[in-house]
Amino acid sequence: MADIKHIFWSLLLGGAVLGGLPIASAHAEDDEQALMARGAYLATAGDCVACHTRPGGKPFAGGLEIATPKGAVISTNITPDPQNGIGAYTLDDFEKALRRGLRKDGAYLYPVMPYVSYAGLTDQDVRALYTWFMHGVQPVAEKVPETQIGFPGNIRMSMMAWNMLAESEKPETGDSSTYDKLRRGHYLATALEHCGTCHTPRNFMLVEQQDQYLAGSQLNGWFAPNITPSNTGGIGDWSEDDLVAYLKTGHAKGRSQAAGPMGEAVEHSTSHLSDEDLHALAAFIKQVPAHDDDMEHQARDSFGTATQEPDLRSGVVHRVDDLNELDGPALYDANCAACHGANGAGTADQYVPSLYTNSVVGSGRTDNLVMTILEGVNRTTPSGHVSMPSFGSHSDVQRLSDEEIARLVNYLTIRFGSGDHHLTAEQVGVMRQPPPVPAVAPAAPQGAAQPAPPGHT
Amino acid sequence: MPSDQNLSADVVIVGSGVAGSSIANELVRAGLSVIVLEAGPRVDRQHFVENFRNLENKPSYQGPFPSTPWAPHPPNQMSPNKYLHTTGPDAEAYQQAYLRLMGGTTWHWAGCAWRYLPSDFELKTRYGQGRDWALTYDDLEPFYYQAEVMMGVCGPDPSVEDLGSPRRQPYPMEALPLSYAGEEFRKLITEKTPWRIVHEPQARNTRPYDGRPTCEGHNNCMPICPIGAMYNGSYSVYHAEAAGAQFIPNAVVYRIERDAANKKVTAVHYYDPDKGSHRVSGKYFVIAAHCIETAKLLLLSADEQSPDGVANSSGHVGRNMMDHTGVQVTFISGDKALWPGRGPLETNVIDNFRDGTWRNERGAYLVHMVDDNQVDFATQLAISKGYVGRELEEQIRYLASHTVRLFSHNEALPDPENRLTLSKTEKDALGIPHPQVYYKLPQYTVRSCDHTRSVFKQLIHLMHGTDEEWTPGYFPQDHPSGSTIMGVDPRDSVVDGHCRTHDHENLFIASSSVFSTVGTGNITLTVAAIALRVADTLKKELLHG
Amino acid sequence: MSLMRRDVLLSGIGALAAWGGASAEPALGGSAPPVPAVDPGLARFMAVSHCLTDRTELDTAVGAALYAGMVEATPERRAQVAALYDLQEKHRLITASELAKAGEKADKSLKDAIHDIMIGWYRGVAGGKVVVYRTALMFDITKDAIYPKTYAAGGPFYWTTKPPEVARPTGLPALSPSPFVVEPT
Repeated sequence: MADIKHIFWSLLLGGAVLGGLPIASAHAEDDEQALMARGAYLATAGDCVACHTRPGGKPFAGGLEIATPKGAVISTNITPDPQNGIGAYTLDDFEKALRRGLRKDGAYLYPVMPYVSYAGLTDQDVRALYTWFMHGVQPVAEKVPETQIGFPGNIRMSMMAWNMLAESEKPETGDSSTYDKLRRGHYLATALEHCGTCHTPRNFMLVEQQDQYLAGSQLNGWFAPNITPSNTGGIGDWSEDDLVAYLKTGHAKGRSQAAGPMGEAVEHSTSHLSDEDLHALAAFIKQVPAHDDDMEHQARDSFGTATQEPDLRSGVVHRVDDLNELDGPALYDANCAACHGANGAGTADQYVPSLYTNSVVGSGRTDNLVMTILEGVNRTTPSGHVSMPSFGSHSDVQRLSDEEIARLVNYLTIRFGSGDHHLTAEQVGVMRQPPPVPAVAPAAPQGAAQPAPPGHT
Repeated sequence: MPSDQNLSADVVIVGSGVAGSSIANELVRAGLSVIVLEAGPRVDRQHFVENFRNLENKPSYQGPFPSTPWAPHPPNQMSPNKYLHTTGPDAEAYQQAYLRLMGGTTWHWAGCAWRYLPSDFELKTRYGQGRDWALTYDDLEPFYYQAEVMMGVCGPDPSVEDLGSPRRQPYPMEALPLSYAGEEFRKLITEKTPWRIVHEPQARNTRPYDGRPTCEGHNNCMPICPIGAMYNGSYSVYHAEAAGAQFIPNAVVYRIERDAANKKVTAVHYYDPDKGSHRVSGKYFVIAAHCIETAKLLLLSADEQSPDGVANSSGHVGRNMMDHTGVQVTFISGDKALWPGRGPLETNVIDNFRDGTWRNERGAYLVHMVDDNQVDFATQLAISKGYVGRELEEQIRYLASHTVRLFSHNEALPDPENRLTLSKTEKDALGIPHPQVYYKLPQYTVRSCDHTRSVFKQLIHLMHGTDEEWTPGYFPQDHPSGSTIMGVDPRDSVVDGHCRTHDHENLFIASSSVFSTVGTGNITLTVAAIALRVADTLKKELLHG
Repeated sequence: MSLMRRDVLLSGIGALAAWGGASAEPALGGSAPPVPAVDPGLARFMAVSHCLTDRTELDTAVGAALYAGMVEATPERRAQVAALYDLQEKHRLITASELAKAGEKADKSLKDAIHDIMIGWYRGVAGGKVVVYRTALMFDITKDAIYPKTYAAGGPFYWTTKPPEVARPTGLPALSPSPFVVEPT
């Protein structure tokens, strides 16, 4: 399970980049070409490739292992290959899978597949996606191993119960390309990008709490932050342009930058959206109900300034085998200052961002700072390839201990962020090796003991 | 400390630098068991970065790496030296710097990743000088590419800038753009001389590569890249370890044990820092311990069976010591400000003196305008001139922006008289003798250096230079090679074209020590290519009989 | 004019006293040398340093560390700094050149002290040891053009841009020249 990076609903690393896809002009005519282009664009906005491609694999041929509370779900081949993929699906079959989570044979899909979100798609867009998947995707005759999940209960019953609890999006109607800005933004945010999948907290049944829409949620080590317009807990201080820049490039200067699952979402999906759609998405997010946050009392990107103190030194050069652990300032100097600057200002062009006025450092939650140090940043968008090396257990550049990371993070948040959060080495250790995903998901009724059907996502 | 009982592997490698670690990585990924014995300790980058910043003599690239008593390396390039004792008329020209620690000497190199020219392998045939190698450029070409991919080498498009070493594949990364200083120098060379400037191929990231970031021009490739944008052997150590290779640090190999027939190596013995002795057996053995330490170990293993040392029936172990002994000059340009030191250290090269019919009488060489930050130099120079206050600050700005340093890598020839032996008087903490080297610069190299001086004088004149300071004599370029020389004839060489010792069928050497001639570029890429070829040979023999 | 110099001196002492009470940034890989809150030697060193650098602002924490390192390595520097201070006060010397010339003229050994003070502030080195690296004044006066090694902050490929032109200096040396010895690597 070492390769499994994320909790089941996260956006995942795909092997394919959909750069250069034609942006659908999205006219209503039933012209096949327009429908194909529209389908391709929608598939990007829905980020299908993220889950349905394994690293190094062919696009949409599946095979990616996705961690769930009960074991790995293996994403399926959704290329139009009739034996191994969905080539035999009718439009009706496709619609059932996409919007209702029902397989062609009537079995339920694991909710790894965000069909509660895709349920919001219009009929026309479902058809566009179907057309593109059937004719625009290369069939791949590769059989994906079947998911072997030993649910103790009856998967169908538990899924039925879960589906009753989970509130699906209501299908939108008409031609989604003609919607006004906010309606288009809502459509993109809910039916396609499924922002809430990560950013909305869930109840004990793992159902998204719609009254806390986008108010922030744990994400297997990372924290998908509160992105409601709260001025203290959320991103109320961001302009629409800030949000567009972030979604387009993964970086809003002086605010934040995308790493981890969000870096992947930007890489595979949002950086390929049209500017018009990005503005629609941003405008929608800016007007959802604001939610304050128990742990964030001031905008996360409002802390810190460039600070520079003299670098008073011991002048002592240590023997090569002297690997004594360094203190916070020395850790910063040795590992961070070369790129982020002795004063934390980053590089002149902000290719390396400043550490002050930086949401990740300013947050009351150190999760994303720790995860960024452990995993680094690796994000490719049409505007370039951004990389920060990992300082975790597999780094070639520098491997820091749990104690060193805790010291470094506490130093960073004191110097550039919202103060000392008293992070401990033990906490870093837990994040370095994420524990099994909390077992909640479709709860199996007691006593039921039928063999689980092969998984199909 | 691992138990002695089970120290055995398919392949036992001595040395964890670029050669040893890359062989280990290849073999372990092919399913073979591998043990690597490294004399020095495990290390990490952050401590070296801080050591550098705490070091007063910043240009001393050995400075941030004070060695352990059980695995000493030269503390600096001064002569006399507390570890590498050089003698002879050009003793100072052979004061090589290298490191004994996990990952090896590429912790401090400039990342210059030249392929040799086809002619470099045939110096005797083509120019009647030195020796031919027992392999050709074509034999090595696929391994050059493999090494370039492993290290992450950037370089020019051969259709635009042909460096003379035919390629089947483009460089893994695009060439590094020249600095302003390099570009101005390139313009001068192009417009005012018959020569050219090429982009130096470098094991340095011009885009994120292999989990490491893009070069940000910290200008500190030597002694320590602070961000890991440049390759070093520790990455191959990590990769090999991740695949299951066992690396044992602080394991100072001091003896190579052979069977009764003296045909096969059966084990190597190492000391731990407390001088506890350990035996490691295996099917095959590779000595990849740097040119100087490799020869030292073979000589140290002398016993009744091999009174002159292991693999030394030819008597050539420790002989034929070579380097790219260079010429260096620093001067103050009278033209516009260049501000060298913005970007990586070495990016531009004049390669016109790399090959030509004249190689029948004098050695080839490369010319670098070193792109080295001159602020500290300028400050010391201006203070010595007597400036203070505002006038000092003006001087520092002017000197730092106008100082130009040129140096060359000049080709040596294998001469058996240039010889490494074990010191009879100096020993390390484990009682192992220090290495000593007699060195007399070959006339072939002296003539090459004379030619370089005339070229440098022309360049100084072109740049309206003043205050020229010639580094006295000749200076070492840390490219020691030849101490276990390669050849087809077991009577005058130590290894064959596959780097297998003539004397012991399961003993290989992967180091610049096998070079038959020193070649016309920095040695590391060729060391890596040769090592990967050794790995290929071992895989074929061990996996397919 | 001498009033101005005295103001600088007084402000320097004020800053020193303030520094003595507050803690400096924790030293990297070591700790700042302990300095008494009021050290007349240090105050004199700062006054002489202001003059010899032609600067009104110098960091007192750095000054304290430089002075401590210098005096530890060469104890006679204490008296030499005091002698320079006396010269500066007595003759109401304003510029670095004036003080340096007067110093060398009064006592040849003061030239070594002046060199040490220059090396301290501009290179960040005292007693052969690094006291500060990136904060050394040599990097302050070149920061529009170049970064200290390992602290480049221009981002990838910044080095292709054109750095500032520098006019040929016209100022003269104040001290007699000394042999320039480049440390071997």
